[in-house]
Amino acid sequence: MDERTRQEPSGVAAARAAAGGPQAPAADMEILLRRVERERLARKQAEQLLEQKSRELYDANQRLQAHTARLELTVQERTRALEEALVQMEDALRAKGEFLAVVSHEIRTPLNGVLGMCQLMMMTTLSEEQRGYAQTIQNSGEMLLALINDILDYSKMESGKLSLDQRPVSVREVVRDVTQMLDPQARTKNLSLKSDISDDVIPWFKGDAMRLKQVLINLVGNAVKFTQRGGVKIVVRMQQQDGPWLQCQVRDTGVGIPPDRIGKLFQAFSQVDSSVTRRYAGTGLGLVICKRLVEGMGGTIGVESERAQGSTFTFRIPVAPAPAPVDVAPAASEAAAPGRALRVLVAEDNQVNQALALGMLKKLGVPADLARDGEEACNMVRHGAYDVVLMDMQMPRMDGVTATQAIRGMRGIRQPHIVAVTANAMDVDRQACLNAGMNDFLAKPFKAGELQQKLEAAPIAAA
Amino acid sequence: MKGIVFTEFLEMVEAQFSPALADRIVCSASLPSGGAYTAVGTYDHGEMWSLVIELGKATGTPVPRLMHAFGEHLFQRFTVVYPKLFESVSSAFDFLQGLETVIHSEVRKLYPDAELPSFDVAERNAQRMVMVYRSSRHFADLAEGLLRGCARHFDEPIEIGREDLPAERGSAARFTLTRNG
Repeated sequence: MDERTRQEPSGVAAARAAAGGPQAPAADMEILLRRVERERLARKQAEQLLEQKSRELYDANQRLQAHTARLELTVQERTRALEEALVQMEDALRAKGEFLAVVSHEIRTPLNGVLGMCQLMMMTTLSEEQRGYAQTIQNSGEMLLALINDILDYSKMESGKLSLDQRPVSVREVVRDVTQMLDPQARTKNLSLKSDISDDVIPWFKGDAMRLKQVLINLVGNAVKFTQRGGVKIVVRMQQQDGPWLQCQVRDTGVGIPPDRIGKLFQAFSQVDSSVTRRYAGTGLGLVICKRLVEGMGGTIGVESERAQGSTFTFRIPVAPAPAPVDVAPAASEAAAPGRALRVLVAEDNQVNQALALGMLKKLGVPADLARDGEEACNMVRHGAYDVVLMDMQMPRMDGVTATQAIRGMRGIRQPHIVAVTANAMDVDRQACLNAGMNDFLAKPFKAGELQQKLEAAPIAAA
Repeated sequence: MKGIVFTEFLEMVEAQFSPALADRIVCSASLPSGGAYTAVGTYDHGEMWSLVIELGKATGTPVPRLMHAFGEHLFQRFTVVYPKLFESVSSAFDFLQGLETVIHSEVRKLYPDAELPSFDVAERNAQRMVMVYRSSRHFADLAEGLLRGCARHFDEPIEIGREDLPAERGSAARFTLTRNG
């Protein structure tokens, strides 16, 4: 107040002078009181205004807090809904995978029948025209089987059910098998198929020969498929990096892969050319399966490619040396007696498969008897001296594994060479077969040639 | 202590005595705030004591009596400044019943850090109401004045008895309000 009076603008002093000099003290007091009253009123209005605004602020803040709480609730609800959706999705995916596995497996059984019967038919006298048709059935059936196997493998991997063997593997044997298998395809396209394995590659390591072969078959098969001129080469080298690694390369002189497609190459259901008019058939699962298998073995896979120059697929897996496997032959079998015909027992419950096995054996000139389940097989082995038993794994009353255990437990009989016949000749089954005392495996659908090989490998007991 | 207690006190002194007396007690109390109060501010409660003591000296009236009188006046002022708080209340007991839940909660909305005394209702029936006052300050006299102001506002013949209670910190008192007739 004092401050303000002292700093009163000169205009006010001038006005006061014009009004006739200083006012009388009483009048002066009155002016001051009025002025104080105005200030007091202004203060009260300001206070009221402040309280009103404070109250509004408080209300707004309350609304904001309520809103925040609602938002948090909404977020919680949404999160819960998303979690539920995720669980449902995972369930659906699992169901899908299982469905895929079951359906694929079920499709293989009749397909085996078709392929087997077709083979038998081709062993009969056919006209050129008929032989052509039968060959087409055979080829189409085999393509279909390959697709189904891919899908089955993929769904197994998706559901984490893939398990890998840890048994002695010879990469030289694997590469030899692969080149032997795919050489005919290469020849028909006038392509060379060569392998180059350096001397320092260890002869045996612990691993899964079948799965390694599967990867190589896929890569070499692709290479042959996408190459028109030149050839395909399998190159195997050893590398050292915190232990020994096996490096396998499949080099081709084919069409190559556009750089923008390389990234998608190892993704499920993707082909370089997925258009309807694409030139090359296939599910696009092959490389995905290869990648999963190699990764399952603890390794990596990649590709380098130049358009029109060719592609090189390289995979590396860590390997631990293993001793060479010892052949497990049944104790009771004796030296082979050449010249005498084999006596074969087919233990199989499925009628189509029965007809197939018996038909093939007949074509091979091998006499055979039939057992419709495991129990019957046991009885027949006990009373008839069989050299070889083709033992189906899944049979009513008594399955193949149990029957084999029973046979191996029999005293005073001639122990036969038991070949497991199975629709899924992999992992767990194989070990179960070996543990039960089986000697060999034959995967359905088998060809007459494969059956013959297995029979030739069986020791013939002396009569 | 909320500024409105100070602004209303000084206005009461100005109105009932004189602006000159108000000025005198403000000057002689030598207040840290300089006696410049606004209703929305918060000031040291010691300043209120200084002002009342100075007023007591100047007028020769005992401090408790001044506090009573001021409390009664302050309540009447509340009814003018905050008419909304009285809109739906029809009796003194009802008003006092809602003191903690309604009135103080409204005050806290505007002044979240206000230090308010507590007025717990210990007993209540149609004729009698017992309230326990607790405060970190010693303003039981002011509280009593406010209660009187409340009875007068609702125009009810209420007799107020007071029993000071021992308190670890600050002060406490039990007020017994009895409705006559």
